[in-house]
Amino acid sequence: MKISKPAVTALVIVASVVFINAVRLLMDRARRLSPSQVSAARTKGNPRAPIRIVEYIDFQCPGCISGSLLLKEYIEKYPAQIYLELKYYPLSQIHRHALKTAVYSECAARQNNFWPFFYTMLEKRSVWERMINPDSLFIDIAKQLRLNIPKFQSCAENEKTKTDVLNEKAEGRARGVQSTPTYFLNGKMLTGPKPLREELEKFFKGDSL
Amino acid sequence: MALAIIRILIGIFFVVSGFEKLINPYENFLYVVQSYELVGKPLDLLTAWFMPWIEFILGVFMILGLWLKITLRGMWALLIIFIFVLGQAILRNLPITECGCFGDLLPLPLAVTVAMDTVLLITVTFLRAFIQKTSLLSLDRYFLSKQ
Repeated sequence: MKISKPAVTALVIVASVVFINAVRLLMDRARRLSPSQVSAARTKGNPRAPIRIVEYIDFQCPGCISGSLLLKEYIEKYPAQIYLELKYYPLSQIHRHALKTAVYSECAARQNNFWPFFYTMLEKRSVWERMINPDSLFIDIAKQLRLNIPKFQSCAENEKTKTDVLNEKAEGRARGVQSTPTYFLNGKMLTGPKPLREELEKFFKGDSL
Repeated sequence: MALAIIRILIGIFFVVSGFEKLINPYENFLYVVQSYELVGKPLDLLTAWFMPWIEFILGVFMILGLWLKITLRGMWALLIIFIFVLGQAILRNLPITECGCFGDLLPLPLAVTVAMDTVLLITVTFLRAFIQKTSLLSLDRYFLSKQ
């Protein structure tokens, strides 16, 4: 059988497209099957809201902070319209305190004080980012919030807390998250604060905060 | 033979890079493209959609040795674009900690990626200069022998 060069070229291109799309299909199925559970302490807004957002963040990423503050403003303005779930996605290879901040936040969440701890931590970001060991600062924040300090400290030292945070990151990766911040707005994936703002503005008909 | 092996290795490198972007949600690479602040809408959308396909197909052609002269020229142009994009990000001091070139697979700082792309560019230039040796074990040779 004689086959021409242009025919082989077309065959290679078609085979590549079919192969990639088959892998994508399999990956999409796996992503849909991955579980989505989050501690109630890390949710905000109306659970029956028309806009459901799952937010994957790293506490040292600048885009995550601007995205979180944007969501805070929108939820304050439209508390009945938005439901938010926050999930950890620490990028430890590029942010030295990424895992630690997630672990401490999780410990605050386990005492039902995630949001005040989170926002105070964001306010003091410029301080703890420069510290080699910011543990004392996080414990100070916990004290200010009147958390149970021995419980908070033992939670932070417990390897299981770290494993839980990393499991949540693995769950995010299984859903296709690769960078932060990544949002799932009613299931639609948005990466970065800019597309989030655009989608929210679209929903609230041009109300840019 | 060594040049043909180098050609295949570079092809695998491009296939892996394109594959990683193609099988993951498009939004991830779109975010990478947008973070370089070089193109606006809709060019960013088009770049994020087409670039991984170009990388993947060029890689496959490189491995198979199909249309080698054109493939090498395309790869050369692609590497020049990569070096320019990364270089301008470094010069503008954009807040990009890793290049996003290989997604989660291989997080590399910008400077390392520029160095790597420069080495690849030199290698591709070399492969172009010695196209006869580069085209060993290639479909191009097979079709030439059939003529």
